[in-house]
Amino acid sequence: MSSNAKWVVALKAEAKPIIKALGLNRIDKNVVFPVYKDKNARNWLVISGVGQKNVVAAVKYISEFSDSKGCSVWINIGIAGSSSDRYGELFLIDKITRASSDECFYPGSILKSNLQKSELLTVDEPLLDYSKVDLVDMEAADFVRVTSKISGRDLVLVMKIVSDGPNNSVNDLTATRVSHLILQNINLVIDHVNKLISLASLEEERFENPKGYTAVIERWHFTVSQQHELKQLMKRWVVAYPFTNIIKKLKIMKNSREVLTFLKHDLDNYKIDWK
Amino acid sequence: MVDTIYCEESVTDHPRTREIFSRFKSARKISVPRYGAIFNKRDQNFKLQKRNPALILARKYNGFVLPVPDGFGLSDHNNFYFSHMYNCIYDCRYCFLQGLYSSANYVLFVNYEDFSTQIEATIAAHKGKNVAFFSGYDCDSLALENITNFTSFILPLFKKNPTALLELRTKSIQLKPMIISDVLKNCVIAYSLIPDAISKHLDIKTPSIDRRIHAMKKLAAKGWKLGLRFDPLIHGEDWRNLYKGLIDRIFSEIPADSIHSISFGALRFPKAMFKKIHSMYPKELLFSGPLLSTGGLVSYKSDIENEMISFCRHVINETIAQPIIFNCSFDPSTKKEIIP
Repeated sequence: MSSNAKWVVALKAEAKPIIKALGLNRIDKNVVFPVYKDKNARNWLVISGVGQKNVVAAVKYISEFSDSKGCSVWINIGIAGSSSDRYGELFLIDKITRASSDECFYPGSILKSNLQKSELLTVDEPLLDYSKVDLVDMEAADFVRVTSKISGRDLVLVMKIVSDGPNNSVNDLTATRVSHLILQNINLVIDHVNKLISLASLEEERFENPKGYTAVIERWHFTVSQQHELKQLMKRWVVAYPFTNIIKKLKIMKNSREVLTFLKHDLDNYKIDWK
Repeated sequence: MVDTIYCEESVTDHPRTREIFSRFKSARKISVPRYGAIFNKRDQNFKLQKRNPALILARKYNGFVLPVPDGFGLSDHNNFYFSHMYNCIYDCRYCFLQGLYSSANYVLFVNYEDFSTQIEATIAAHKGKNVAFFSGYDCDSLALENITNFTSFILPLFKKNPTALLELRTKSIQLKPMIISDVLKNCVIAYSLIPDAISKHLDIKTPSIDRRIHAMKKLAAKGWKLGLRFDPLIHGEDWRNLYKGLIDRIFSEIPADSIHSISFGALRFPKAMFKKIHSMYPKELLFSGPLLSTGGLVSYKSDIENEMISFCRHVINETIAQPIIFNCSFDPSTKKEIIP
């Protein structure tokens, strides 16, 4: 299984430049949460709509739809209001406060990054006066809460682009302007996501079956408990004997118990050559 | 080195926090209510965080000085340990910390004065008795000294209390606190050592065995007492020659009279911890060795453990004339003595 990215964006206008840049195609007819993906299933995107409830539902939907495993990177990107005049600037978010509860969420910080970093306030209703906050949005808090449970917070990214502030009224925002803001930063965003996907790929081995495992369980009958034991033993065995064909070694075994005994015996007598 | 520092609100204005902030001017500083909000929560990935650990500055409120588990320490002493830090800059594949914590971020408790108060209170409470303090079980005692200055802070306390013994456990070659301090006869710098060929595979991001021996030599020349900690003992092809080579090498460089004590530790993991670590590093050769799961522990068979300890003791006794204190060792994850 390969690492992949799950993009969750609130607005179609935010999604458009990402869909184009990544070559994504619509893959379902769901009118509530449209889902897109590329041909290699490396990038998935869902349009959630505005607000935390929508984002939670969209994450759940795409998670089930795409059979998310632990090494998916989750990205929430979108526009945000700012008290300072930083129109068009991209920020990597490292602390999110949910306005309604003061609860804080912390996306991971494993990626070395030169991007500007900021805290973010997530509100339930559009904030008219945000002069006292760095950045404000309507999705990120619950996005981090739910995606951290799926992939762990280290693989969760929140990126925001300032769309409105003291000199740029929210009333002047149009779909075209929103798309343009995303497009202006798309290369930086994709570069960042790709770096995190590379890190996530370090986790792939955790989910891989040991080489030859499927062939072994097809050849002999293993109970569920034995399958678990077999997997653990084979993981160790294939590391000890990387150039040996396990099927050839096991072919004279009569049943699953003999297979397990053979593997245990081999490992019990294995002396690691550290030189 | 550190590009993100999380800081508990309660220590934001602590002088030590300010000093660390001033040394990491470009690091991103993020305020947190309590370090538990970001350390060791379940939704974290130790292995990925090891790629770029953050520093967490926090205040410790209790548990500054704790009694060591039964069977550990010096037999004629009252033994205690303390941890001013959780986690380590090194990434040793056998380390129990990678199974103990979900987070690889470093937690530094900046209220050192509370540690010293409790250490002094413990010494006072054991007046007239031998008392020993061990540092370096939840972290390496010296590896982050250039940031923490904890050893430099704590050594004067032991200078003032010469009847209390301090052991600093390390793989670091950071010698500054001992170079600038007078030699304390009641302080042991204990080095964790495994044969070089094995260290190259398993001691990730650590100074090489050569550099550790070089550091030990410098300390010995200044008069510091050293501990040798063959912990854990790692089995493999030709292990006798590897350990004999290591022991010969050490005693060819380090005068035997600099050695305070020697101990051996077995490779042991609680079953759940082994499962977690093996799952993180399924391709690690160490875990393909002759490990046995019995009684909730994963370890080498006892005949392997005993043979390795006997062999190493024998080589040491053959190598040096004078008697050496052999400490027992314990498994910090299970709090159980390893060698009965």
